[in-house]
Amino acid sequence: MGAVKGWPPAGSKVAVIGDRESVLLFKAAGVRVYPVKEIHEAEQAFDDLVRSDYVVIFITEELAEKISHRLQEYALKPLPVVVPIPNIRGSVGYGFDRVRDTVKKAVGADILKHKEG
Amino acid sequence: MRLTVSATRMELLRLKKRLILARRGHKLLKDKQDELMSQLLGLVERIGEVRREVETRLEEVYGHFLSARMSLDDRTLEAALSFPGKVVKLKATQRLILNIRVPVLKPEIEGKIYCYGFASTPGDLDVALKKLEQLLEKMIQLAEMEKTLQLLADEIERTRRRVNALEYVLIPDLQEAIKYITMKLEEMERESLTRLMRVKEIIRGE
Repeated sequence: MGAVKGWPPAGSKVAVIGDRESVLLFKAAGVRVYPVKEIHEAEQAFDDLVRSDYVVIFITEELAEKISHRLQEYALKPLPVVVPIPNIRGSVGYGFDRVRDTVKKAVGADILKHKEG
Repeated sequence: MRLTVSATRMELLRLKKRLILARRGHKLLKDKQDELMSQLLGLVERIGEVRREVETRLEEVYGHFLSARMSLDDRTLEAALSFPGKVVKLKATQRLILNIRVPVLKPEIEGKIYCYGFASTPGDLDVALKKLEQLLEKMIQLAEMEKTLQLLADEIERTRRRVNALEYVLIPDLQEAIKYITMKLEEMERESLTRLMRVKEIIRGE
């Protein structure tokens, strides 16, 4: 295993970006939270987190979908890991869609179509 | 013809060597692609399970949280949750899958979770928090798996492009060039043979 410069990042951390209702509880669980309302706030929060070497960034599906172009820039870097999660109003299936798209890109066919529904 | 070559024996030998090399490379890449693919398919299946579990459990957490909210005013709730008694840290290392670096995440949770008095808050809040705490590890596992999936998928795409370049461009080009030289050389041989026969005829005719 070759050493990668700056690995592991100092103080590896976890954060959540989402609407206030959804993220409040995460705060108590010891995760850094960014309650945001607007898309530009979410982008701002995401940039902040990337700059301060957060390792895992959970983001509510609703927001992830809206700033997916930004998240895409980091998709192929080993870090950070961005994971869409359902918000307090429930899942909209974006998390699964993203997995499906990735597989589709690699395999060249939509092999999950019938599995996940 | 896409490769421009001079029709000599030297060139023919050189091309044949290149063809053998290209074929070997193609086979290796193809094997790599197959292995990557089987890794990916296994991973996808596990991700499906984990993600479903995470989403269901998270929705449970939200459910408890919402019912806790009803019996609390905003200020108390905010106050109860604003001073976390614990910190979630991560240890990020990496491992190699077929020469791709993928992250390995190990959560390290410090401190205890209940950071507020039990008296002023409903039991649902405790349940929600407890469940979320148990869920975090799974969520981090999901994060690791999804990132691995993305990296694998990208590598597969790149390998496939290289396999295709060899299979549909380089190897056919080389074969064509080899065929061209072989035919040209044979033609030259026939030519010199007929020339010889003609010369012989002329000499005999004298």
